[in-house]
Amino acid sequence: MKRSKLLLTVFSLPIFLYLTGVSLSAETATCYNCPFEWADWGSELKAIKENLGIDVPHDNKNSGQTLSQIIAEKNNPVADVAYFGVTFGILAKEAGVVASYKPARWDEIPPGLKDPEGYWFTIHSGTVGLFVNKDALGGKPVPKSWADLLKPIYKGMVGYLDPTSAAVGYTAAIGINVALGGTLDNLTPVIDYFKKLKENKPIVPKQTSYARVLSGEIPILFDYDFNAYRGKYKDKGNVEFVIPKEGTIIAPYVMCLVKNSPHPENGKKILDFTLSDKGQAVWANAFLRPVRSSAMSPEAASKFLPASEYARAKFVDYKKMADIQKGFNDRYQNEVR
Amino acid sequence: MRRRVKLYLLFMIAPALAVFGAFFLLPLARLAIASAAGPLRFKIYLLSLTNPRYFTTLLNTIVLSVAVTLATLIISGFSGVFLTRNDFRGKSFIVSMLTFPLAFPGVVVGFMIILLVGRQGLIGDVTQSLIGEKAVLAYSLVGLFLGYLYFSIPRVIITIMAAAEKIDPNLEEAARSLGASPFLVIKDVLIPALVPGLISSGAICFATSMGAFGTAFTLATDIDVLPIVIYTEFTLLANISGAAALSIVLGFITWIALSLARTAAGTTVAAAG
Amino acid sequence: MMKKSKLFLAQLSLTLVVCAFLIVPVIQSVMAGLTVNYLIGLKSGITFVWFVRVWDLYRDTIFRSIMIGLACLGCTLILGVPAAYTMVKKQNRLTRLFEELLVTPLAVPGLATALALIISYGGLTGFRRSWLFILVGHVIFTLPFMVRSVIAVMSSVNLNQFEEGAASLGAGFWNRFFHIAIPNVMPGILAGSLMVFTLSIGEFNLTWMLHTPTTKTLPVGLADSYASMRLEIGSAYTIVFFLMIIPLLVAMQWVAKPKKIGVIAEKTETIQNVSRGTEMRKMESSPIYETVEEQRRAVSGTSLHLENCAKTFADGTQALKPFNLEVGAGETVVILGPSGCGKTTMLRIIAGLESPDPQGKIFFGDVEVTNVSIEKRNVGMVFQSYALFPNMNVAENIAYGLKVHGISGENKERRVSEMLEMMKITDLRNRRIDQLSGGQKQRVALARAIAVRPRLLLMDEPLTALDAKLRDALRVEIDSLLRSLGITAIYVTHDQAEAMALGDRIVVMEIARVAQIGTPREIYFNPQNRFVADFIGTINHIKCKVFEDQLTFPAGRIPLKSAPHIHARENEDVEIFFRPEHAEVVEAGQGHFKATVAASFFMGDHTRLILDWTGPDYLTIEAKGNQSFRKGQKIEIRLDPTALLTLKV
Repeated sequence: MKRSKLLLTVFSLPIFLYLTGVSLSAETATCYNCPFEWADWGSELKAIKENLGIDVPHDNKNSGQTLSQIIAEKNNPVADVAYFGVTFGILAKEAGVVASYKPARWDEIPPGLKDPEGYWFTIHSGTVGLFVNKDALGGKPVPKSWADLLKPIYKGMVGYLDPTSAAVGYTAAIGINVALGGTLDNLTPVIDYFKKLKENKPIVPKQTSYARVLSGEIPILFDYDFNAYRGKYKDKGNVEFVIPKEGTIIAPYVMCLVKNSPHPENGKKILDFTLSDKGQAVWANAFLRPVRSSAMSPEAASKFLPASEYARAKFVDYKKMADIQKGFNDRYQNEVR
Repeated sequence: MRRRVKLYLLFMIAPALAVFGAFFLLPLARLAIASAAGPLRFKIYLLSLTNPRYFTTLLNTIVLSVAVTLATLIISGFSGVFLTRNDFRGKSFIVSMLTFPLAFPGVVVGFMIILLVGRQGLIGDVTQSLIGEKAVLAYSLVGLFLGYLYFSIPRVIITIMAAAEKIDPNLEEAARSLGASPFLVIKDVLIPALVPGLISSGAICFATSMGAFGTAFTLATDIDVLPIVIYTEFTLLANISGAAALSIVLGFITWIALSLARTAAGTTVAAAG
Repeated sequence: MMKKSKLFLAQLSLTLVVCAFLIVPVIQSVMAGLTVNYLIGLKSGITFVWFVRVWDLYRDTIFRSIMIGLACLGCTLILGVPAAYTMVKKQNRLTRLFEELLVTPLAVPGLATALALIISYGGLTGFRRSWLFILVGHVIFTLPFMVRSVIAVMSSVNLNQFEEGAASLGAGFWNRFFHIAIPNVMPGILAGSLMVFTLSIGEFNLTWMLHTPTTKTLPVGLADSYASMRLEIGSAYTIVFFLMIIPLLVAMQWVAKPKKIGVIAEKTETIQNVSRGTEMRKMESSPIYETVEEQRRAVSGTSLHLENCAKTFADGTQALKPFNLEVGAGETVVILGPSGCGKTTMLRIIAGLESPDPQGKIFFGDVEVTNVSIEKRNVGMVFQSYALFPNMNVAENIAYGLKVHGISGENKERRVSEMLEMMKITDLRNRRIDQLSGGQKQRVALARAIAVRPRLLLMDEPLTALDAKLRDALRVEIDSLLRSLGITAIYVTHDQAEAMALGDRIVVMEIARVAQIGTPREIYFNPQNRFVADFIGTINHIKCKVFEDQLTFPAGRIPLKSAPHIHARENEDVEIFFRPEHAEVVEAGQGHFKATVAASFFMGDHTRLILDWTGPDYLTIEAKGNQSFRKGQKIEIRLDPTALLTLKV
């Protein structure tokens, strides 16, 4: 009896390993910062699997964590491609951890939205504003401005991603700064704003919190329009996107090929795909502004807030935004935290 | 004959020694070397005391661990002794409930605390209905404390129950035959007999709390504990030597605590969480 | 009483509060995972959709965790069990150091270990990105648990005795490891396995640092989901985790519970034994005779010769001073002595479990066996604790030596049946060892030792653990058995009655040295020194001076010519010794001296008297018949001069 038990365990183990091995041995590539719930990366990853046969697991790191990890791993890279806010892409190039690669359709990207040497390129962009779950407000009015959020009625209801690590957090911060009259040289308005906001007990997650807005855990989140639209039209939540009265900014998101990555061929294929018709269509349908504006479909465009609202959203000098990022982080850590 | 037996025995322990050496001792040595490889060389250890952020973190972690240890010992002491000496219906059910969280990793403990005292937590709802304000404790020091308590209590209760069961009932009967009240019996017979168990499980509790990472990670509070700082230094700031040095400081403190535990009592349980 | 119940209630409430603190969130998470919207609560409805989402998002983490857990278990078994065995068998500096070091992975935070691994092996890119990297971390973290668990059980089970028993039956090192050691530490292996697997499934600190997006494990997935997924998904995922560990925890509790042992009352056994004892005496001419005759032909005892054997242990203690011993074929020699005199050491040297100091030699018949290991000496050994293998039943125990010697099938079965019949335990054939009483275990131990037809039977205090009546009965049986088998036997005991009953010759031992070797009569009537005289039975002594051809002492005198065997010169100081039965109570004037009764003990067939007299010590004498004595009674004693002894010290 004992011997047969032993034999059973001995033989079942390799069978199990074989089965798991089979399921795990498909072509893979590693993407840092491809969260399921953000910008509908879930659908994009599925499309990549279907069209390219490459298995890319989803990853919840935010832009800051992605950059730090790539830098930490630069001698032995683990990731093949990375996705982050534009300023992080610029910083990645400066840190020397990304490789130059100009995917197919490179020429269709407008000049301001790509690195001339091919170290990063925009795949889509969004406008930062307020992602509001109306049900979770508990009867309170939907806020219309950045200043509204300082009111005590919204105590404990406001959330924003950590501006020192998440691109959306940093973008929101710069957006607030510009809206409140500051410039990229003068960050005091936004620092003061955060200090005041602190008294309203804000929630400061580090990673994408789309689901938590939908469920009502975070009633008001500084987030992009595309996430809000998705919540409203795809997941049918009672949510609304608000472009604050004082104004805001638009931010592109970029992708890079990691230097000396383990699967560079797969990485390149993925980058190509993100600019292809199919790849861009995923984002168009997810309410992002695809960088190849031809991919935008009219019905998706109709779901956006009217252009008059978007007039308040401005572009900024992203290179400068990248340059002042460290200074902002230090000020935020010292004065607000 | 005996030489052959010696050879066989060596053959049997060699693989374990090899794996242990290659994947634990050697890396730890490399860690120590890496800590001194930075620009500050060995002075980096001083940094753990002089750098305000490192120092406050170290202090926070120690104070938190000590507080958790004391609270756990008192609570588990009471409950553990109570459960050993009393039999009542549903006792085994309560014991299983108390020991079930033993297998939870720190992440799950953090989640439990969020469910209990987070923004949508039960306690928050209760206080909302009672005093109109939601009490959200999960993301503060209190939440961290509760989380650490959560994973410490089951471990310590098990050790104390085992120790209490080993106490010779004749001791207590002798005390009672000499006229001691239940309180005196507890004070003069029970507690002294439990002291080795209390010391050892207390030291283990301290060591576990010092090294706990998952709980603090999940609760993501503003207050940093040392393991979180080590993590941030390595992954976010790529400060390998700093992270290595702090790890060694942390490892050293927990090792001392566990050595204390082993000299005070014979058995050991693990530090994990 | 009132106070007690107040205290009780207070403690109960505290315990219940703690219980609630721990369990309420578990219940919450179960609810959250099953409701459509946690914030609305149960009113929103019960659904399994979150489980479906969890399966979509995280099923690879579940498989990976199980795979790593099983691989970790396999590794720790292969690495840890042999290592634990070595650490228990051989306690030297290396193993002790390793035992100390094994604690360190528990002390060093998982984070630090992971960091160390990344720094050391992060460069091996293929390794770094695979799940093997995580596996290594887990093995390091869980190995101490497996090793400790196995060591704990190995130390508590009397493994050494079992292995010596197996060795005496001829089993080699690997046979002993796989058939004796491993089966008997199964509880430890099982407990360790469950612990290792559970720890691996739940490990986070190490794994978080070591993982990559393609090698996520369940706890890593949990952390992810708590950070970014909605509460319901996190809860559903947590429920999956609970479902995985609950069976493991239950299994651990079940393994830890001690199994109930069925014990047969010894009392009934004693009665049966006594009756069997009388049967045995008649047995020699009964139908069993044929088998016994066969035995006598089949078993040939060998002669034993120990030359200049001594034993000094590694720490310098001399357990045995050099001695010589000759045992004839078929003889039963009893080694008798107080605790710690070295008798067991002597037996173990004969067995081959210890080797004598370099100048010693051992011969079985004409063959020198000094350097032959016990497995090859073909000695039958019965241990004080019987050393029956708990993982086998009675028949399997008896058959073990036969199996080792390659006897199988019908021959083996026949022999086992013979042994069962000879020891009259046929109905115990399939019993488990823990269901036997002491006397039954004794018989099984004997049967097992004899089954392989040893040249020499060695018994180490086999009856010490039994109660008096059982001992008496079994002593008779053993005596008959040894005679009928014609086997050479060495029997160790501290009980002199046993020695006198069983031994053809007795080796009386003082601390570390042989005091006298002789037949029971010689030992009793002619002790060669004071120790032997004192140790065997009781002895009295009187210091005398020779004066005018009389042995004179303060209380009286004895004429020398009545004790012709005592040669002493005039004025010489002589100490005379006599046994209690060599003194009698006589009428006044007929005795050698007077004494006062200090205490009297009626023993049934005689009365033992403790006498106070002019000498320094009390005297012990036996008074025959049904005389009764009072304390303080003055009596006169007459000694039998022919039975007086003079002794060297």
